[in-house]
Amino acid sequence: MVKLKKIGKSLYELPRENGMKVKGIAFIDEQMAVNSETNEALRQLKNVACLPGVKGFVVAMPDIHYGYGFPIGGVAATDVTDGVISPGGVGYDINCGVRAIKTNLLKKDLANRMQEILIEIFKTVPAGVGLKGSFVLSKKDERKVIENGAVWAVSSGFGDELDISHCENNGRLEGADYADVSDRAKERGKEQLGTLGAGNHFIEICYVSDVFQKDACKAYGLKKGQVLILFHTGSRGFGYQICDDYLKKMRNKRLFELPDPQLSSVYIGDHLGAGYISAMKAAANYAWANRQIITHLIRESFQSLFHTSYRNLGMNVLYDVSHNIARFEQHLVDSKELMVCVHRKGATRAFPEGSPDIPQDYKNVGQPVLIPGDMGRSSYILKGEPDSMLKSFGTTCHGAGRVLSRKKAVKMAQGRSIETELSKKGILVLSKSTRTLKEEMPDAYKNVTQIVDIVEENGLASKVVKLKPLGVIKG
Amino acid sequence: MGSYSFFDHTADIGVELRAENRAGLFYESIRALFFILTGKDVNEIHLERKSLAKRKAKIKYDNLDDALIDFLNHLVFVVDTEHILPCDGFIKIKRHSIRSRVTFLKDNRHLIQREVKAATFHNFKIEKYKNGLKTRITFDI
Repeated sequence: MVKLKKIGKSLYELPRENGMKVKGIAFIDEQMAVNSETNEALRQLKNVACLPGVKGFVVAMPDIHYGYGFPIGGVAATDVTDGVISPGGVGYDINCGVRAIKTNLLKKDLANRMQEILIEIFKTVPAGVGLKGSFVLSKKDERKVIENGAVWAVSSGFGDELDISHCENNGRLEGADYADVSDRAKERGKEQLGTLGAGNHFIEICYVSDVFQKDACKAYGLKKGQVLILFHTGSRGFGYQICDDYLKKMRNKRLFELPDPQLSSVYIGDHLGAGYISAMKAAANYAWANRQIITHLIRESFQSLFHTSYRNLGMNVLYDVSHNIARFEQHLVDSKELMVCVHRKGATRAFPEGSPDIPQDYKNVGQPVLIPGDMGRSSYILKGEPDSMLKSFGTTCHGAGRVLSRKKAVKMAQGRSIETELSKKGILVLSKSTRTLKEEMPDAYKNVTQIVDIVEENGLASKVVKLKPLGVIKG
Repeated sequence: MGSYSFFDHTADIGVELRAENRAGLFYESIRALFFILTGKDVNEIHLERKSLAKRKAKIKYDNLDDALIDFLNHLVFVVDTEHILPCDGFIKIKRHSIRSRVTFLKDNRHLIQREVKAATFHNFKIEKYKNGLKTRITFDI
């Protein structure tokens, strides 16, 4: 078992040992601390602590689970002068993230209409394996997507200026160079813009079941019973290929010995490091454009069903968060302000009130943090809290976190109809693949309430509202 | 004769390949990828000649072990862009490159049940066992 020292309620330290350059901090409870799955993921976190130039401490969020290279739910900050950038610390689905769209509809307005809503969205938003988007990117637009992300999408008629201002980084990372993206990545991304993808990507229609903080609700424009749409997707094949291209190049360079080859990295100042950062930004921009187009398609579905404009339906973007990304941020490390590259893999930014990097609308409250759970229980909207800046590089969890492997989940679901089970709870589900439904069934995930309670106890983020699902589309 | 089997991985899919030699590992990797994508062994599918397409590829390598991951990611790229399924192949290992001639099943997009993002290098190494080679590969899905 990994050596763990309890230092607080749902807070453990992984002391430095065996090549670790910094200690680890794990926001986990006692039950997780003795769980063998969590233990394997913490072993991966220890490997991350061996990366050159890693600063302060590495962090495990309560939804941590075993990944490849980095654990999912892991955070590491590296020094910009003598630290590395690691594509494995971002993952293949660069800027995979979650967006929440508000509506002015109430749960009762959707009574008996959920099936037609799901079918309409399912028809409009390509979901599942191998589906093309509704258009093929021209060379000219390809460059614009790479350089401008959601800004391109909005200027092309897929939304409003307000949508952009409610995205992290305003839906665009500066410095993405077209030349740093391979032809293969461009080819893979050409037909996938505006597609949801498969696996754990989803669109969920949900409603506010519980309100925890009235002031934050006022700032976010949320109230009890209100219907929201939450969806989860990223940079599709475009991002996967960029990660693969640069990992291969970094692996061939073999600059340092690392405990796991998937952690291959180069110094941030290295030519190859600069190339990856530029290409990663391109993928982040692609993902924002993707989520913007999907927003447009969801709005079209609602417009067609409710015979009024999406503006009349109050379909504004609440927020858009990235949970697989590396960004340059100023943090207090060992009592000094330092510019670091924060790798968040399966971890969400949770900047508090007053942060310069959050939208003006939320400046006095803190950023909304979107935490989807599983399709049968609940999701949460949290807000960033000041302690996140001291304890986790301004980060919190990203979801519930898997607890069962896909193989075990399918085995457990044998002889059961997940659709029927959910329908008995009043939740309708549509999916192209019954296998996906089994792999993604609620039992495959930790209870998200347990996860958000831990981040709240530790002052990383606090609960604003709880959401309950009404209808889910799985890719 | 080689084989492929799956091992538990919380978020993704792990596959163990065993073969008499290196080319055999490549061959088994094609069959394993087919299973990951479709949930079926290639022997369960009736392959009609008219539904098959051949693709040749040359993959240069600095490290022969890594070439297996590169080869798999090449197949993942073809699947993602052409929506065809790798089901058989012939692999020749040269001094600095791998030459492959892979047979793909076309016009059977409906068989694809799963999206594969990539084959990863996570804990990847090729090891000797008895008279053959074995390796474990984690696929991000």
